[in-house]
Amino acid sequence: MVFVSQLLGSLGRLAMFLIEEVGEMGLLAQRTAGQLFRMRPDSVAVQMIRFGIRAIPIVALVNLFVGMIVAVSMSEMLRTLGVINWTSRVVAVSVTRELAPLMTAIVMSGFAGAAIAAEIATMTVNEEILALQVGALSPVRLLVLPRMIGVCMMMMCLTLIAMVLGMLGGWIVGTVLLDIGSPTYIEANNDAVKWLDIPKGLVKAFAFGMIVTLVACRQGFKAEGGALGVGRATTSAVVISICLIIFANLCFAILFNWTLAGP
Amino acid sequence: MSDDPQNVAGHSPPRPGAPALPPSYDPAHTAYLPATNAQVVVQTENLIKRFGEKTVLNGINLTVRRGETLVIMGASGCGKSTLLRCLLGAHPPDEGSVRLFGQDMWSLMPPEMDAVRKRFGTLFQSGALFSSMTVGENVALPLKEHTDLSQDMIDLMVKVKLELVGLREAEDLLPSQISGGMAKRAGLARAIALDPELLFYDEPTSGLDPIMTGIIDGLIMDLARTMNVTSIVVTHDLKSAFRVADRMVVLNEGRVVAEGMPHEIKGHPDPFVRRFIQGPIEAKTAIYPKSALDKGPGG
Ligand SMILES: Nc1ncnc2c1ncn2[C@@H]1O[C@H](COP(=O)(O)OP(=O)(O)O)[C@@H](O)[C@H]1O
Ligand SMILES: [Mg+2]
Repeated sequence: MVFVSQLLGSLGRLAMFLIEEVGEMGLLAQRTAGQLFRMRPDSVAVQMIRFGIRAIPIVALVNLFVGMIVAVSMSEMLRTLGVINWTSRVVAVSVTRELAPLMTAIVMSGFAGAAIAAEIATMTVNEEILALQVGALSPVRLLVLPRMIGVCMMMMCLTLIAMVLGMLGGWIVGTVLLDIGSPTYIEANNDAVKWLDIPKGLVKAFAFGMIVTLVACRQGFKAEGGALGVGRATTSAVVISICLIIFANLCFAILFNWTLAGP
Repeated sequence: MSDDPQNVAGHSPPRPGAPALPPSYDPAHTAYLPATNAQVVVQTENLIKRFGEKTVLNGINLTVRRGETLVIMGASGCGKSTLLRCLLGAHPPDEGSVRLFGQDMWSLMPPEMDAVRKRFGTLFQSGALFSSMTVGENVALPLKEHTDLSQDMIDLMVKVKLELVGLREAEDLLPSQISGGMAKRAGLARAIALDPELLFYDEPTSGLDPIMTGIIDGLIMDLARTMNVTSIVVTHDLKSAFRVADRMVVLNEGRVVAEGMPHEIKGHPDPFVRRFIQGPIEAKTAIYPKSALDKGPGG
């Protein structure tokens, strides 16, 4: 009983902490939106290359494996039911609808979120952020805005790549290991993909990109205490953004599956 | 300002044809007191700043007039940087007021606040160079963001400012590739990029060798003398403090315990000030009381 109450207590504290952080992030988002029209395309491009182009290999690899995992783990059940050809359908639906946006976001919370948090936290403890502020140079405009736009755009592109690679992973398993003919597999795959799932996935990717950058920037700005503080900011940025991404994903699942489509 | 009749009785500016020095004046020092009616640039009234339970600044009153160099001294951790940040408008005061150029920063809207911020420059303790940019780009940033100058003009200005601090050859280096002293000089070049009327320096010479200290002190004095910049220098380096100051204040336990011309501070009766200025001599007697010395070693 003591253990349970302790667990509930720490869960409650975590929830309160997350709610407070979300409030602060909301303010940051508002201030960022206020600077939107003063955006510099070249600085956005730099961030898109840093966090987008360079993330393609890792995002592709992870999602290829995820597609393969789904195909392998579903195959036994589908074979028992006598519908092994449905492997492609299961993979296509789960990848496009949930797994590609989610896995991409989680990879990016490490790839981009940790990097942004460490970068901004270092600037905070080195008085660089203070130097920007007292020099009338808005850190929100110069640092947050290009990172947010860059990450959100690239998150959508990466999610598209992830969807393709996830289905490719399923196809490899299906044709090589499960002996499903390639034309059969592709036909069932294309039949199963709901094309509306793709824009829905992109909406999610955009939202996850916002979460990753807002969390990372917020943790970076509030860092204090030298190198130790930078480490703490990086860790909490990754932990908080994964929690919020999963929670946001649940909200999207309810919205897209029940509210928009009807129960 | 030297033409001001009210200043004749005070202290002489380092200008040709200056009036004779008063008898109490330290002739080695070239400080001058601005006319009492010179424009007030920075003013605090009963400034109080707390962090949680701890009161770091406990009622600071300062007035800095155009053209003078004020040195703020005090032991490490006594709140010098905090005071500087309050003056800069980076920390809101808990009580009292801070006025820069006659305006209370915390009553201004962000665009007006930025307008005030463009009028002063700041050299941070660590230099605070933007680590992702080269030295040249650091100096160019304020010019690029706050002026309409063409790229060619900006490049030229950057070269001029870097030349002034003796860093022409470091223009294309990253902050991680230069030494601490160079980082401070580069920070100074960035601080003066927009030709500010007012400059804040946070421990400009701490951690530097004597030669570099001399160079930085020289830069501070040159800027004050040749460009009539108002300067506020925070330091615990006595030698450089006495070298650059027109006027000094000493902080202790959140209050100003002494204020005056350098020679007045040197002869100040306050026990803390005397200990601060003659630190090492008294420290010896504190560590080895006479009775202990009389007994001899091992006694
Ligand atoms: N952001 C802060 N939060 C809490 N305490 C602070 C903060 N900044 C400074 N302090 C405290 O205020 C005191 C004065 O610090 P500071 O102004 O940096 O001293 P110094 O005179 O060495 O520049 C220190 O005891 C420090 O612990
Ligand atoms: Mg300090």
